[in-house]
Amino acid sequence: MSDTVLKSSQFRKEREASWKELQDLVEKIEKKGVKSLDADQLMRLPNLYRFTLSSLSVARGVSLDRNLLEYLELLSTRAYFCIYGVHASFGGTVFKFLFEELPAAVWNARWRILLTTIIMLIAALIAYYLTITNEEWYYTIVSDGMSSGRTPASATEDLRKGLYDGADIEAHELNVFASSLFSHNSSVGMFSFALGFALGVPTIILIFYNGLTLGSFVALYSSRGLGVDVAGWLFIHGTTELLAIILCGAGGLGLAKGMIMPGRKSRLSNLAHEGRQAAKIVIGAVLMLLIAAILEGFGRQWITDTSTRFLIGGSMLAFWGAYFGYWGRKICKRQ
Amino acid sequence: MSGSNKKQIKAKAEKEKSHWRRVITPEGVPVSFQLASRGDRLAAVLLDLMIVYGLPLLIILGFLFSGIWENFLEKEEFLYVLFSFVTVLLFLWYNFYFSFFEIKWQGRTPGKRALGIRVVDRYGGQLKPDAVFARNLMRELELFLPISMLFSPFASGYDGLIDLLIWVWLGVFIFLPFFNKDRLRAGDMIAGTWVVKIPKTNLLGDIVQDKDILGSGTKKLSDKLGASKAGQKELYSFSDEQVDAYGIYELQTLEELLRKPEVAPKTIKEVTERIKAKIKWVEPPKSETSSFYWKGHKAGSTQSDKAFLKAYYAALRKRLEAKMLFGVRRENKHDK
Repeated sequence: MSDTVLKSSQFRKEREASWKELQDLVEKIEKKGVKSLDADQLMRLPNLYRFTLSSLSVARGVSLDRNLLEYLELLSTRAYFCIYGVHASFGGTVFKFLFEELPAAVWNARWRILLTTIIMLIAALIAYYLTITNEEWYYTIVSDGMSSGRTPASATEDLRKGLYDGADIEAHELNVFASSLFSHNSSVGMFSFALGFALGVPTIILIFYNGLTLGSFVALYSSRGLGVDVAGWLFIHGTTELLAIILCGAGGLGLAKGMIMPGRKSRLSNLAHEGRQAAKIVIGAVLMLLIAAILEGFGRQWITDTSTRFLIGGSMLAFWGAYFGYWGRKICKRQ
Repeated sequence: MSGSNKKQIKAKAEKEKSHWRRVITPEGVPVSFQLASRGDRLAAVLLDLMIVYGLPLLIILGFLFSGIWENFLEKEEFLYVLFSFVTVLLFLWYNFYFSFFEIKWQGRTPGKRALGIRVVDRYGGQLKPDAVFARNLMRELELFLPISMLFSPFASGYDGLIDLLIWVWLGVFIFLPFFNKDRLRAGDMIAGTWVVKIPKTNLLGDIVQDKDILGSGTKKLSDKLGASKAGQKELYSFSDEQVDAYGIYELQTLEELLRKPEVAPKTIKEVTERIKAKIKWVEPPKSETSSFYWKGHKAGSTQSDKAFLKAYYAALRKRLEAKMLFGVRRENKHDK
């Protein structure tokens, strides 16, 4: 062997072909996606990747050729992202999300959910008490957009009618109603999650305000002796919708917790952990809001019997309780 | 190369390094990539926004101008259904456009793909859908709220003050990537991701082996002479002291010089002279072959300089690599 041939040159010569092969595969994946590879290439990819990665480790120890080191390093990085990128089949992801990740994430966040619920209830009680004692409070608490004409000035009969009419509305009109409800509520929910980034303060304010509106609204109706009626009107979709809003708020508080109480990990890495868990909850809440919008848009308009409304709302609540409380807990224990 | 020049280069190298990040792969090997620049990310998001807002607009305009809608005027029910369908579809499009593409295209939206950047997990793991959703749910606050505020009329008086406060507050989010060294926006923070750029590199020939790079002049010459590699080696043989003059930094600087496609002959000459002076290079005794060599090579002194540099590069690399195998990394010439 000639003396000018270095060990590192020899090393390179023996492996170069495999690196080039990996480079070709990676370029193909970057342009056209993993699916463009045939079965044979797909089999070769992980092997070539590990081979190149080990070459990189060795090269760092034996070679001082900077171009070679940079090439191997960046090729490994590119291949690494091809292999460890998002590889999820849509159906499998959805299945796993619904049956494992979502209930577990919600169960893990149970104390935050309880806290959010308590905040909302306290706000509702305050508003209820204020509005019952003095109806003027209603105007302060409930915005014009929310009340849409349902104010203390309305006649009791009008209020009652508002709770029960709609049975004669055609399905296609309700479609529009339900779809706008869904997109509006989901935006509010996602927004209250995002607001959690500011240490959760705006999230709490938003939840508190929601509770105020709710309490004041109920107070108006119950002062006219329509307490049970309004409860049924709210219950049919509210058990799902309010729970979803509470979940979004709890997700926002999760972000705040990640920042304020990082625990053993660094603040940033804990925030990342909490953020991902919270994102699952919020996506679940968006799905719940879809169900709520259907219940509100169609169910509430067509079903005007209060006891049936209670039955549907109650069974939804029982379902969510079992799904998150029983199933979620089981998943968590299994892990 | 003067001292200040070298300092500049080192400073530049360090500055470049600060944009490089490492992750450890599950196989335990660190690999590195570059953080995407803020400009690239801004361009990518603007491109995406154009698609997010522009595409539905184009489709709706196309629908209106094509006249298809005239057929539906009679069917009121159908229009209602269509309207609610479009509402939900638009909601999904606006809110899940980024998430959809980042999951489908492995961390790349159309805008990111055009700019050659991608989202990756900050801790080296797989980019999971929950992280993608988390970082994109934040956009509601970081991106869509400011945009909708931009298009709402400015209020005056008390409401104006509130608007101002909201803007200040939003500004914190918008400019967050400028205030941390990893250029994270709020969404990246809660999702544990960052946006990176992986430059493409090509494997260049090995200076030590590649005949073309080794200097076509030398090769032609040795053909002419019928001299073997060994003969050429005799021309440049270095003593231990001579190859101990430099370290890895100098070696790689020399590599850079040799790999550059076009270098001024003057630079080559200067570098050659500097090295020759440093290692106290004595021109080989003019034996028969070498005198012939020098005679034939008077015209192309740059070529001979280059040949010398390559030979010295090979010798230096051999020496330093041998040392490295025994666990001694000599970083630069001051390193003992």
